[in-house]
Amino acid sequence: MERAVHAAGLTKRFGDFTAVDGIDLAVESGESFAMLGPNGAGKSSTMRMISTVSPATSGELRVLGKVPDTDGPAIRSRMGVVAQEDNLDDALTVRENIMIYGRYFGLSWSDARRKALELLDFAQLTDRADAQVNSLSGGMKRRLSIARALVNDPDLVLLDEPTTGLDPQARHLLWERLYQLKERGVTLLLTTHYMDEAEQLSDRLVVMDNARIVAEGSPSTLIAEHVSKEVLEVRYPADATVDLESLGHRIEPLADRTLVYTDSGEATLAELVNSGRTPSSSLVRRAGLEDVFLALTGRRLVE
Amino acid sequence: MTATTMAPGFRVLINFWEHQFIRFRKTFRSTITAGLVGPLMYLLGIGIGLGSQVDAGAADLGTDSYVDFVGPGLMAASAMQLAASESLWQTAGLLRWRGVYVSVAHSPLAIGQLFVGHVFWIGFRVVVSTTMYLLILALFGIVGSPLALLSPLVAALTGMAFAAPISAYTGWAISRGPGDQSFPMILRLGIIPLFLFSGAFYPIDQLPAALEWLARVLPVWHGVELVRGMVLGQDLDLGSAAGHLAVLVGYIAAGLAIGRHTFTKVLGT
Repeated sequence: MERAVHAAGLTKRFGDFTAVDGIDLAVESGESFAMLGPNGAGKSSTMRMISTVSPATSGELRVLGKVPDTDGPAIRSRMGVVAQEDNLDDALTVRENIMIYGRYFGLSWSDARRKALELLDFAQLTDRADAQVNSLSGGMKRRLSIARALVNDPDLVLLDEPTTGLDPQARHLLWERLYQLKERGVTLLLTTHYMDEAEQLSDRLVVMDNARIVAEGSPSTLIAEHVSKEVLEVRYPADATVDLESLGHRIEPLADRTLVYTDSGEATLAELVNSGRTPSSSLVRRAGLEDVFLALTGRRLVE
Repeated sequence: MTATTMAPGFRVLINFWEHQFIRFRKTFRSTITAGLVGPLMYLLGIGIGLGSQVDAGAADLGTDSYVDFVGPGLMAASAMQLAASESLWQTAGLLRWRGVYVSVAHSPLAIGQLFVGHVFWIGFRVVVSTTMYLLILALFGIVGSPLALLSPLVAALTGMAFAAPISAYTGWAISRGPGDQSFPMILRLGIIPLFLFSGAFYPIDQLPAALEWLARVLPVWHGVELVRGMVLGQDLDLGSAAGHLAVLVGYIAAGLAIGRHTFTKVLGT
């Protein structure tokens, strides 16, 4: 089976500004792939090139086995795009948004109608089918834009920051729907600056920073490669001077607390207490992608 | 022809118009009302009211009465006004604030096709509104030729001669980011003066030489002359009719050539 996305040395410049700086990507068919990074890392520019609307400045790009510059319409006919803004048509009802979009992909009116019913059910919007788009909540609008992107039964779905701006409940409902898609074998490519989202939804991911890819792998291998198993977070009063240097594998001082990367958070905490360096508060947790990003770039993902 | 036998490129263009038509249908009632009331007001207020003073002065208009002169002229000039307003705020909304065209650009429709579809759609809007204008003209007994039935199509060309370049401009303005304040200026310093100097209200040879020259260079006067000739059944000579048409088509072609690039700047970068 052809690779969903293949990029080599992919570059996008806007004048003097380099948004994407020679990245290599390989998204296999059927996998769920995330691009994780802070705002401005180049994720959205990469997505726009893959979605075929934005031409690459240089480098090689193939999407669903075809070249965007020459086969844009053919690629788009097999792809679903969920942009950062919902871009729903506010002159149309919820149902019409799906049906009329389906027509662009060659669906007959009766197929478009049937498909809309099916997708409204998938997006849990059946009871809002004839509502005006503007009456929907943020989470509903996002689910509708995902439903609309699925109207052509795409082989590849692009999701740019799918849960940004949604409340926790709406995020979890969306994740659950996306997980269902993944189970059906749809290739998902998403960008996010939430590490929990990347951990939840992706089989593999790349970490992007400053227009480049800085790491690649599955969430668990990235954590294993770049950080320890556990993290001990400790806080001391602002005026205290405590030497933590020799603790664990590595320490990361932040503004309000210090992270200690260690194989056992409890053991390291006991070591602190036993040596008279008891912190005013402490927390032991599993290391995550946020820690990977911090280790790779020295900065936090979400400030 | 069915969807399967049509070239996919043309099929999606049809789907684009279908989409626009369904959006348009939602406001059909108010469109019809405004489309009939507007011309009625102009014809009563200016054609009959102002005309009562003009006819007394026996101006050299080449028509039986002032309302005969001004009615068809206003029909063509209204095409310009509708096209201009559709090409400014409406188009900006579709491109950016509402993002309708952003989604359409993710369908198999190409951006160049989208721009062509957009301009021809405004042409269709002009056909609908000027057909209503023509109905009102017929009500006033102004229609003097079966050729009048084709005049909404010429009015559509007049509208598109503005829609293509102005929509192209809107794409460029939007691509430079938010904060563009030029639209009200274009309307007040461009379209409204053009409406007054279009030859709809009086022959353009009454204008100072510089303004007359400007009126001849810009498309609206050409539309006014053609529509007036067709509605009244005046003896338009083929040479000047072809000249008028060529100017309109020229503006449309130039606008289409530029607009595909400016729309790409917004939707495809």
